[in-house]
This record gives sequence, structure tokens and C-alpha cells, in this order.
Amino acid sequence: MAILQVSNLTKNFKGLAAVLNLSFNVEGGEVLGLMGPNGAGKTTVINLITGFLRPDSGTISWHDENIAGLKPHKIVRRGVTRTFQQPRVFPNVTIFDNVFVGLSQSDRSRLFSATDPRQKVSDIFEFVGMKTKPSTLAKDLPQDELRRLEIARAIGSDPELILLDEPVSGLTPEESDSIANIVLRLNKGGITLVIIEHVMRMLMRVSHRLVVMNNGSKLSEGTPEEVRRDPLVTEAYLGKEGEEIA
Amino acid sequence: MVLQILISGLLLGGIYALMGLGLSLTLGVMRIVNLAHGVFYALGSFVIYSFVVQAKVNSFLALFFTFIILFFLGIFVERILLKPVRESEMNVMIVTFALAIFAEQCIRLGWGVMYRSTPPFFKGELKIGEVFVDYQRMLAFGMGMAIIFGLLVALKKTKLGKATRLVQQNYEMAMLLGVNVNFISMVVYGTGVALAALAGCLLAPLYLIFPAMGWTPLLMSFAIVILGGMGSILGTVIGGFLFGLTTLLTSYYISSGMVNVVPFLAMIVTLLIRPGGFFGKEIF
Amino acid sequence: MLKTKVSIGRGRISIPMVFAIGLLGVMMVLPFLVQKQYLLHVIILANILAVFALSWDLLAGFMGQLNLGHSMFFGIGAYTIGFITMAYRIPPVLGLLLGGLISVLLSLVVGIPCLRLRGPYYAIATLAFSQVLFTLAMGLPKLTGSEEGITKIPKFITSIQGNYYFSFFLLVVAVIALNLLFRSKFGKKLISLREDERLSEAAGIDTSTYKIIGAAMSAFLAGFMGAYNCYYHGNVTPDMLSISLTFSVVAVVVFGGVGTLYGAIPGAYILTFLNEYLYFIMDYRLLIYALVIMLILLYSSGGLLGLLRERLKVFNHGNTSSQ
Repeated sequence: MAILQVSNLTKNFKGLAAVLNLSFNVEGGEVLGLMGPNGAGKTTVINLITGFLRPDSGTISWHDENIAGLKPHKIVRRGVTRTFQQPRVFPNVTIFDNVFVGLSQSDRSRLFSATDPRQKVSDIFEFVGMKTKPSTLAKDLPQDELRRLEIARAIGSDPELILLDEPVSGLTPEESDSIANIVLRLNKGGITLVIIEHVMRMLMRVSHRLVVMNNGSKLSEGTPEEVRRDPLVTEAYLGKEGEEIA
Repeated sequence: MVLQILISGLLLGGIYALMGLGLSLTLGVMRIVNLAHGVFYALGSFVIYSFVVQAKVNSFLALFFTFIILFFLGIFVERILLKPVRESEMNVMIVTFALAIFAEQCIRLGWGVMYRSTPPFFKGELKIGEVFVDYQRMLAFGMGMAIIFGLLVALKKTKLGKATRLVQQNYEMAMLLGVNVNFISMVVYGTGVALAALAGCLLAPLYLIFPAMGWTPLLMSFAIVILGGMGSILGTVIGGFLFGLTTLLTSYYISSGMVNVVPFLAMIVTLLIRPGGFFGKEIF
Repeated sequence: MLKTKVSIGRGRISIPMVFAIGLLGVMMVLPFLVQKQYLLHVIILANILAVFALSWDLLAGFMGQLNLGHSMFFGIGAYTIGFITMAYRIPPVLGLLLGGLISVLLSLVVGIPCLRLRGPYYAIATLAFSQVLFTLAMGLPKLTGSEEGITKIPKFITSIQGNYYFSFFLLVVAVIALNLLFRSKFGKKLISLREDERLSEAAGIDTSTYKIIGAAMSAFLAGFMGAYNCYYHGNVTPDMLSISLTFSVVAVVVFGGVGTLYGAIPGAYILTFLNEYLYFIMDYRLLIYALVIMLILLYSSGGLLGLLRERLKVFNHGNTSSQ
């Protein structure tokens, strides 16, 4: 059952279409991979879904409610959160507070049921494997923990759907696997995920389905196997160094 | 009568455009919010006052000297004060705010709080039909337009000008391409404030000068730049004309005491209609 | 050494805190030890400036909104008292609250349109608004008395000692309140506005509403103090709306350390004492402050407390410490 439906989404920047008539669905409980070459419009899609951009046309339907053009915080309250391509934190604030400040009051979380906020943040940190002390300032956080903090922050709002924007880019294979595990555990806990990535290995491992974008439009869609065999996809990726669909 | 106001307003607007342009340079090219822009305008007025009234120097010569002095003062300020704090927007604003207060106090201590006036470059006026236009205004307008034109040419044709436009479009790329961004910063800031000073010189004979005179022009310049759009010279000029007209209309139809208020309100309205950003369209 | 805690009853407090409490104790008995009324007067002025400065730090240091027209909130609180007492007699406490309230209204009038404005535009807009008010105060003599302002306002507390203790009361309450604010989730959301507004939205925080509420709190504090200032002096003049006043407050907070909360207090005291006691440099005051501010920003953007913090890792207030 589709919980998120993107229909004919279009966004132009100075005459250039970043996203053009894009349509796809996200099924409840799945992990959907969103892939495509650089400039395909993937981050724009996330920005549109999460309210950071207003579409020029089309609808974004979340549980049958059109959320296109709503302010980001309203979308978060409805259960959709995101991470950023370059990890963003509140630097002069403790990592504890980074998560605490966005902590949801609701008790809809199936994964983190603690009512005491301190306990909840602690549980979330444990879940994402955060090793740093909670009282550390975010600007002093070691690089490899930044992504964990981002994910922790996204989890804190008790989302039903999380959109991850390139969660493992720049990480070593081990770190990448670690994040992939978090994704799988989140999914097992009932959270739907949409992941934008270039790193095929990770996407192939965690995704149930893939949507491939190119030049702002949908190029292909299906299970990882189907997409891998799609000649359109191979053609779009020909000539890109280091990209393997295998 | 209306025609008189229109003409006077336009002539005034030419000078405002000059000031606005100066700000547009520092804002657009250097991405610096120069809250001291107004005080340089004031300095222009006071320095030329000193030359002309106290030292009895010829007005045109004084104009030239003032421009040069303020240009180098601007460079000095840029090197000492701005270069170190460039990265933090808030610090730049606080520093230039402090500079404005500092300079205003210097003016007050150096020249006193009395309202002063400067004699016009040319005395007399021209009568065209029903309209009186005094020579000073015409001269100011003419010079203002000439300088704006010269600036346009310099930006388009000279090597320095082209490099400056490059820096405005993309700072990092300009650096990578080997443009001497430091040098350009210096020159742009110096020019920007010198233009403000020039406006101050040209307007000094028309209005009374006093130490705190810089704040209104500061806010007006920002309004002009916002209205006209960053980096658009034509827009800035049009904005200048608009504000020149508004000022004159206010002083005639309402009262000269309120001359400050209406431009401010106009500025606030401008900000609300076109908050447009300096750097990019989405506020987020 | 400065981080060592001392146990008092069941709690533990740090040494700087002990020092501060001790100092407060001394201040409380000062009127009995010292006969000089003038000293008490200067301390009262310092307290008023301190709380006013705290209100600006709330806005600029904690929320990241660089308001360059802050004196308009102080001034409108003062003028409120001025206008009202010309016509009616009202209980002073009501007057103070009214001053704060009118100031809040002003903050809405200014703040709501300015919501969409980024830093520099917000700074310019607030500057413009305060100039409009200043020009009105100067230019409408029938209403505001122009440069002379409104005088002969009946005082609230007549004795110097009374005002002394009251001003300390206000200072202590403000400090405690702001302290509690920034330890609370609400306060931390305000801080997130300064840190990264986009991220704040992504974390589910309604940034527009929080900006408005935070600004309203800042305005209330400033307006309240403006009203009190008016009661204390018995008059209100346009320089309570001036750019110079705004600059004084900026200078105090920058000097003490933006976003440190406590830094504003020594900053306010130093500025006020210099103002009042070194009257032979009266003419050069603003000049010197401006110079000092420029030097501070060139050397360290943290101000006095920022420097201290770097060296001693003591005061930690703008950085939320975990419970």
C-alpha cells in the first residue's frame, strides 16, 4: 500500500527543469533506492518532498494528503524526516541536545518507547552506534560519527518515513556497511526508507526496489535485479567512472 | 509645480544612484554588509567642507582631493578591519556598525555638532519654462551620471573591471582562475566608499551637513540596492531616481522634518515586497 | 581549579557561582556600608543596562537575530509611561507591564514582516524601524516634546535604596529566568535558530513561530526596563530610542561575549561606571567604545568571556551543557 505518492512532479530553476513530470510511489514498509547520475535531480526530489522547495506543478501525496508546498516542520510532524547530503548539525550544542531539540512528544514510535526524553535519546544513540559522550559539542564530533548523529536526529522525530540523502558517500566500506545495518534495523522496526545513493553496493544490499532517475525524469523502476538488467540504465551509466551496477 | 518637483527629484536621484552603486559594489562583489557606507558619505561632505570653506580651495579641486583621500581611507579600512573578519557575516556587520559610530564621533569631535553649509560649485540657476533648475543640481547630476557611465565602461572593458565581475559571479572560481581577489577586494571597497563620499560632496552644497547625517543615506542606499536588484546597474539607477522623487515629494507635500521617515518606510515596504536574497532565491 | 565544585547541602555548585553569590551578598549590604548615593545611582543604571543588554543577547547571541534597532523596544516602553502618565494615574507595576506589552506589540509589527529576511536584511530593517521611531519622537514636538521629551513623570520608588534593591531584583530574576529558559527544550529550540535554521526546520521546529516568540520575550524585557528607566529618571527623551543606545547595548554584549548571557553583566557595569565616573572623557565615550569593539572583534569574536572561556573552559552557557 503506497504511503507516499509522487505524481507529475516538476520543478524548474531558471528555465532548466531539475525535475520533470516525475511520478513514483513508496510502499509502506519498504526500502526504496533512488539512484541516478549526478545532476539527475535526486536531491531536488527530497527537497520537494520535505518542503524545502515548492514544486511548480504536480502533487506529493502522503497518506492521501497533498503535502506539496507545506513548510518543512509541518511535514516532519506528519512523520516524514530527512538527512542532508553534507551532514548538518547544530555545532555549538551538545550531541544530546542535537537530538533532544527535535524529539517528538508523540508516543507513536514503535522502536523507541521510552517516555523519559533522556532515556529516549540514549536509546537512539545506542541504536545508531554512537560512541561519543552525549555531552560532547557537535562541532567536536569525529567525522565518522557525524552521519550517525544525523540519522539519530532524523529518528528522534518518530518518523514513519525517512529520506536519506547519500548516507554513505565518502565512507569506507566498513563504515558503509555499518550504516546499511542501521537502515536494515530501522526497516525491520517498521520504518519506511527512501535512500539516495551512488554507492551501488549499499543500495543493492538494502533496497527492495529501485527508482532510477536521469535528467529529472524517471528512467527505470523495479527490483534491483530488473534495474540491473535494464539497458536504458546501463546506457545512462556508461562512461561514468567507478560506477558498477554489480 | 509638479514638474519642478519631478525634475528636482530626478536630479537628486542621480546622486542617490551614485551612492547606491557604491553599496552595490561592496555588497555584490565582496559580499560585505557595509554599515559604514553612510558615514563615508558624511565624511565626503565634511572633508570637502574643510577644503572649500576652511582652506578656500577651489571646489572642483577639492572634489578630486576628497575622492582620492576617501578612496585610500577605504582601502585602509578594508585591509585593517574587514579582511580579518570577512567570514563571519555577523561580525562584519558589528564591525562596520562600530566603525560608523567611531567615524561619526570623529566627525563630531573634529568639526563640532553645528549644522554647516557648503557653498555651491556654481551659483545661479537656469529657468526652463516654468521650472527653475539651479546649476549645482545640474552639475551634481551630470557628474553623477558621468561617473556611473564611467564605472559601467570600466567594468565592461578594463581588465580589472572584468575580473571584478568575475569575482561577483563566483568568488571561488575567480580565485581558482588566478584572479588576485585580495587586490580586487581592496579596490572595490575603496571605490564603493569613495562613491558614497562623492555623493556626499555633490550634495553638501544642497543640504546642511551634520555628524549624524550618514544614517539616512545608508538606509536609503540599501533600499535602492534592494529595489534595483543586486548587480544591476540600471536597476540601481532607477531605484535612485525613485528615491530621489520620494524624498522631494515628501519634503514638499508633507514636511521637511518628515523627510527621513518616508524614505525609511519606503525602504521597509521595499524589503517586504522584495526580500529577494543577496545570494540565491530561496530563503531556505 | 575553576571547575571544582563545592558541595552545599545536597547540591554542588561551581566556584565562579560561589563567587557570584558572594558578590551579590556584598551588593545587598552595600547601602548600609556606604553613604555615597551617587555610587548607588550608578549601580542602578548599570543594572538597568545589564538587563537591557541581556534582552539583546537573547535575540542576537542566542537566537542569532542581529537586531540593530533594539533601542526602539526600550524607548517605546519608556514613551508608553510618558504618554500614559500625562493623562492618567496608574499603578506603577501596571505601567511597567504595559511598557513591556507595548514593546511586544512593536516586536510583532516589526518582526512578522521581517520573518523572511536573512541576517543582513533583518539588521537593516530593524535599523530602519528604529530610525523611523526616533525621527517621529524628534519630529512631533506636540506629542513627544521633541528633544526635551516628556518630563515630570511621577516616580515609582522614591528612595535610592528602594530603587537599588528593585533593580537588583529585576537583574536576578532576569538572569534566573533566562538560565531556566536555555536549559529548557523551548530555549534550546531558540538556540537552534542561531545554529542552523534550515536544520531546525528539518528537526520539526516551527522556526517562524519561535522567532516571533523569542523576539517578543526579548522585546518585553527591553520594554519593561525602558518603562522602569522612565520611572527612575522621571523623564523620557528621544535618546532612549537612538542608535547610540543600541550601539551601547551591542558594545556591552560584544565586550562581555555574545551568547554567554553572564558576559553582559560585567560589560554593563564597566560601561556604566566609565560613563559616569570618567566624565572628563564624556565626549570621547562612544569613540572609545567603538574602538574597543573593533579591536575585540579583530582579536577574538568571543568578547571578554569568550577569551576566558577559551583559556579556562569555564562559562558554558551559550553552549548547552547536558543535564
